[in-house]
Amino acid sequence: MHHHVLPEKLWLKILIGMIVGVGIALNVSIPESYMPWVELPGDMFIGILKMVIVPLVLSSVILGIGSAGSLSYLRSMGVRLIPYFIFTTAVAITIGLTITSVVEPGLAIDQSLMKPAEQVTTQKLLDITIPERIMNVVPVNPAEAQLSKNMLQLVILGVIAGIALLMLRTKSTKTFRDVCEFTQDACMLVVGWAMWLAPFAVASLMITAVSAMGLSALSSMALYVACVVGGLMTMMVVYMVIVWIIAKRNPFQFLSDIRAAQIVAFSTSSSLATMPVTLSVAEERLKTSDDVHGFVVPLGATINMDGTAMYQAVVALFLCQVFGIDLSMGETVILVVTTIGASIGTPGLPGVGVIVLATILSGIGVPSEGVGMILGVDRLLDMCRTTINITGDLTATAVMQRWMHK
Amino acid sequence: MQHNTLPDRLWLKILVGMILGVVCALMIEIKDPWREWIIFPGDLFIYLLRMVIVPLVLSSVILGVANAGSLDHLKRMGVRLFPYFVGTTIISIMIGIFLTSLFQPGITVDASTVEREFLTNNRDVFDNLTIPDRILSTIPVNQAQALLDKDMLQLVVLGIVTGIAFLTIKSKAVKTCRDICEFVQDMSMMIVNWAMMFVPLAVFSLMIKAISTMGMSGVLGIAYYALSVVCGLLCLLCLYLIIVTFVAKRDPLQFLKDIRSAQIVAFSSSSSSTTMPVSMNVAENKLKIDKKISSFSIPVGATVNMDGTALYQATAAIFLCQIFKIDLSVWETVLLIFTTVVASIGTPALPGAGLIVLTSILTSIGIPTGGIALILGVDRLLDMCRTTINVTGDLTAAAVMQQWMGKKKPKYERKSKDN
Repeated sequence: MHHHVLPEKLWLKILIGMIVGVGIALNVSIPESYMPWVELPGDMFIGILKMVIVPLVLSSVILGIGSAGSLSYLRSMGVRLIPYFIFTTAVAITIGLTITSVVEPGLAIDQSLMKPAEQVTTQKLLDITIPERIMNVVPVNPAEAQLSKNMLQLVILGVIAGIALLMLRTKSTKTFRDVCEFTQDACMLVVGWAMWLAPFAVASLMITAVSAMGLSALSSMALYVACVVGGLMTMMVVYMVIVWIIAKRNPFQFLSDIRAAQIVAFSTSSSLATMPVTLSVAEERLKTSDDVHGFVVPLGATINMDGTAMYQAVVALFLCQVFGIDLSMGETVILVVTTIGASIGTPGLPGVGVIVLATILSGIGVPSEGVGMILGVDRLLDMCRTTINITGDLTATAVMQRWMHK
Repeated sequence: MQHNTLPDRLWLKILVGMILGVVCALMIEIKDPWREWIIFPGDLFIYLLRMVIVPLVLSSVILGVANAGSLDHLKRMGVRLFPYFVGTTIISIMIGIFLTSLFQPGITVDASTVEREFLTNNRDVFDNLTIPDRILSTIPVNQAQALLDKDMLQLVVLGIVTGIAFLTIKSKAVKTCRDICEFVQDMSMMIVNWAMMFVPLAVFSLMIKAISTMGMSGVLGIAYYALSVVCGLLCLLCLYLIIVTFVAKRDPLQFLKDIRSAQIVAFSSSSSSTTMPVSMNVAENKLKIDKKISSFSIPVGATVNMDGTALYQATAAIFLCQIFKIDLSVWETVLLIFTTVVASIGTPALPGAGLIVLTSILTSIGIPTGGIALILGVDRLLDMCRTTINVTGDLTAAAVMQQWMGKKKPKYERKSKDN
């Protein structure tokens, strides 16, 4: 990545786009036939970002590991990163559970408001045992992994190819590395083009999001929404403390560096689509080194989802409160951990975690109306938790930069 | 493309194969177990061409864009060249549609004799897509999917993006990737050459397959169809000479004389890409076109600008519509023009590729692709004609570009010629 892909004052432009989008959505009623045109810039933006994800994840992970220099360096990065991911996820779950048990939003819900959810069958997903789930992570068929965009398999494929790049001492590794470098550069070039579209895209995405968001559902669930948002805000504060104390950076500077990625995450509500932006923010604004962000950002976007984990904790406890199901704290934690485990192995479809959780909950006596209630405000909360997910990935990048390059 | 090793007198052998095929099909009644084996070489030929089409499209488009030299030059050329290409392609498609509607060659062919193997309800699927959806569908969001589906437009977009990356990125790695692309292109052309080895046999078997399902009235209809294609191509040639006279400000007779050698090579090889080195030589030595202009517009033109092919595809589509008694609405006609423009941009410059692209055009407007078997028999002859027109179109475009771009650079343009 030798040239800059993020335009100057990008965050300001996309913030304006966002505000304009919300303004239009609230004040103008757009006829149904024009909606595809309104959605076009946003869909195009996401399409262009998604276009580069597979080659970008593969090439970044390969080069990130390839530029680690040695296997022992790689090992020392791994033994720090994985516990760090688990630790922050645990913190997020704890915050979520604490806030929900204190505020008790489930008791304020009028059960007559509930409507039945669309029937979703995810039973198959839950039948998979843990050994099977681990086996599913092995990229048995790389073409299949690319076709279905199974990110976890692609990351593992990249890790293996990167290790091969480190270990093999033949001339052809140079050629392979060249190809990866070109691929990565080409992807970032395309991301740079997408960034020029970003302000319009964000406006169009906001219009779509606001009109898809049931605002009436929002008011009746206000306390629940407040719990999730409050929990996510707390998590943000935790990140800033980590940035300040562990990564030894000025948290305000950090926030202003990453806000472009945050806004893109908020409006697309997809960690994966935001990943190219996250990578370029890490490279150009946080000035982390290739071996750190090339590995941490793709891996983080795939498995480190603190915002999502917290959200699931809140949902689980909230639904139990609504339907008067008594779970001990231990049982709740097990429930949440199982859900997160299940959602890691599944391809990154939006909202899949909630469905998995709901299916588990229905097994312990929560009726399907509960899921419908949750899904009504899911879009807005999805936007918020994606922002936190991205912030978590970038915080992890800053921390690893500090630990690995003192 | 270094190996221009097309067999000698190929067209003659193919003609012999074709005539033999027609004669065999009419004289001998072929029994069922043998039929499969007689059809086999033709299908093998088609399969071989289909096998190389994805890597060939990708590598040609990438290298075509990368050959422009610099991004700035690419941009300056692009904003002139592409509207010109699209404009001439649309005109040639309209000539094709107009002449076919006038001549009505499909009326004489009986639809019930043709296999309707691919007649499905694709029509509905295509109609339901909105224009924004269609724009979005050109983004190669999932490259593995694009490769799997052989989505040509997505592959062309992917190729252009990669080609621009070749131009923009200044690192040593680019050389390696370029080598890989060149190898892929050469390898694809090598496989095409293998396919060309047995094309007389393939045509023989394809003719038997076509004739045995067609009957005599079909042959008559096809002759009439061939005539309308050739008429259209002649109209297009006249249009080029008018463009040469008024836009490029050259003497049209002198121009024709200059490009003759390229035309003869194009007609006998019926491959724009094989002819490309000759066209380049002609453009520089005979037409005195600046090397920077010719080295961009000739290769890109050979890849992207195929007016003859577009005219032929439009004619074929309308012809098959007439056979199957499908009435195209105005919107569907516009769609046909649009799809054909896009497809002619995505058609690689090799013999036979046009047919495969035609399949996708037909599918997109809901015409049974089984009808292609009908027109395969005369395809070779028409391919020779339309390739000649394609190459003429590329050289006309180069002359026009010289006139347009030359004005921007008065340094060595003033003294040479300015009437």
